[in-house]
Amino acid sequence: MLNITDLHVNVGDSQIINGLNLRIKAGETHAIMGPNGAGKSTLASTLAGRTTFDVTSGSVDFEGQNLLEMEAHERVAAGLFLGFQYPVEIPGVSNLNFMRTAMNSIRKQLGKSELSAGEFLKEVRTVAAKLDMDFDMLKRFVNVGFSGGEKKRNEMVQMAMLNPKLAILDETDSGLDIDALRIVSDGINAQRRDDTAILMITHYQRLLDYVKPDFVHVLSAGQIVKSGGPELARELEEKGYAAVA
Amino acid sequence: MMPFDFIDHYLNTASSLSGDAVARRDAVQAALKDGLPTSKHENWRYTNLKALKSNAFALTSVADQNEMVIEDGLKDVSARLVFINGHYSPEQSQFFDERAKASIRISDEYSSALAVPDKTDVITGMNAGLMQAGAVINVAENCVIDLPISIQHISEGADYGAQFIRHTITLSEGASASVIEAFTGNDKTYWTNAITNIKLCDGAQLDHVRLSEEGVNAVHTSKAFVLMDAKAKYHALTLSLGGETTRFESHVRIQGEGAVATIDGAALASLGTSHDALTHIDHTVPNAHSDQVFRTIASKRGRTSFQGKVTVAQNAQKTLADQSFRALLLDRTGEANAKPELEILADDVKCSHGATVGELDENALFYMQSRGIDPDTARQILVEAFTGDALARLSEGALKDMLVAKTQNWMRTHLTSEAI
Repeated sequence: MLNITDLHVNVGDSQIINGLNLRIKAGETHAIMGPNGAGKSTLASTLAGRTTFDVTSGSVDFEGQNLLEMEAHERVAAGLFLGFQYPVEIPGVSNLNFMRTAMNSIRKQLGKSELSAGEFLKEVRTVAAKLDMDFDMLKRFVNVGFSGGEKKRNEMVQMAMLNPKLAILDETDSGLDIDALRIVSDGINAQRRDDTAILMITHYQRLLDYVKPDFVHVLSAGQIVKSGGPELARELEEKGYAAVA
Repeated sequence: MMPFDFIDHYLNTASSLSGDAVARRDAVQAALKDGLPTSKHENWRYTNLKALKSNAFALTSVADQNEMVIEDGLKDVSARLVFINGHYSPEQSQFFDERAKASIRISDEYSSALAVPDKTDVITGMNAGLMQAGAVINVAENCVIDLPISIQHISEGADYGAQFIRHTITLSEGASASVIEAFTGNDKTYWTNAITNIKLCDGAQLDHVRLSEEGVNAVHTSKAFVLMDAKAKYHALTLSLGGETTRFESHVRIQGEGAVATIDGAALASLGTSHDALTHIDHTVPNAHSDQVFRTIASKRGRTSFQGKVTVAQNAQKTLADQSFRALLLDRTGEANAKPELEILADDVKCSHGATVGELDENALFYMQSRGIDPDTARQILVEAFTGDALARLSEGALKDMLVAKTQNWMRTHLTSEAI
């Protein structure tokens, strides 16, 4: 599904991703762990299409398409989703309006007709109920006045609505109490299927207790320096990045 | 500087000026003496009146209306009054509501009865002297006119037409109405000089919208002078979408306790247009409330300004007066100017003002794009949310829907990546 080959990414003059290789197949759940400054968030944002990051060499193939040539919104239509570490507040734009616009933008790109208001509401109600999100939250402005946990839950609602092939989740567990962590984990687990893949990016092992990855990678200085099974995460937690990588 | 030859001509040849002829003549002559304001005049610093510096200007004349189709975008109104080139068109105007019909007459007579409460200037003086026509709306005690009174002004003249329009709105005790004044026109160079004098008696309520969709070479100067008695409510919205220059002034004198004035505005400027708002809220009595929300967008070579003055007299204790101005620059060549002025002589008041100028939030744009929304749509949604603050207080309904649609349409035309 995703094939990253020898990726180099600069932010300004400094090279943050330095020859990264990663292959993710449908049905797999991967976790990338690494210390602060290893390039975790840069990798996530680059894959999502943030233009402030400069890809200097390498290639990224997503479902047979050259991902790096696509604009951010086109990547979403192709089936890629980025869950934000810090979801953005958008005053004046309601959650419902935001999500409906997003879904219809994607449908338009795929040559499908727009969802009617009724169809959309039905779907969003179902998804929100599954993720324990109060319908009133959906009427509020996007993430404005939401707690950390509510923002992440909102990310999960958006993910479920967009139903991506590949979900990249950037530090989705940060700032969550134990109840919120469980809800978010349920959201991620619900998205795991034979035809989808998950890439979790996290600093801590905590999330991996709830969402068991098939593969764990250690990112350090812009490269994947070690890969293994779920046991690698525990080893990292116990011994620290320096000892393992 | 006063290049208007036509004024001399007009004064010399007009056999009789309708209404208070002496006052009209005096007003015009005073105006001629002082000349048009320039950027050296403090209140006119930001307003581009260059287009008016032509000798070729002449009073507009009655237009041929055979081919005209008037479309105000409002299905349900209590009355639709149409002024073409500054002249009332009985053929195009319609009354749908008996109460509205009983409340409205059309007049070309200047009356100083509702004298302007602020000190006058040249633009005001010229209007008094040269006014061609206007609506006189008198809503009787406790009479409620639910649907808007729509006043459409259309400029379809030749180059260098000057139209002077003067409306008078009086709401007696407990009366309530909603008035929208809309201005559109062709791409000739013309000037719309409009004044609306408003008197709200005790407990009267008026929603007052002014919309400029003037032609690309037009200068629009419009002023509202409002007197508010006790417990009157005045909600104003000015929306600047057109004209090379559009300038909306709102002068509100609160002279009765418990009155509430909410004065909001949005201006969208691009491609060399300049949109200005000037407000003066004068609190002369205790226990009144005023609040202002202005939002402006300046895209490529667009310029906006807001000058907001609040005066609180020494005896006007317990006054609440708030003012918020925010401008969004969508291009490095855009410009926004803000000049808040508070003059507070009472000591037990709550007054606030805030002014910010910023750019679109890149993080929000990327966030929206990362949910599948294309950049043009994302930008439009953010800009719409921004201007939405200024429209928020207008009551829900067809009028608001129409104004929102107009701003969206402006954005679609001006804010796509090609246009920026």
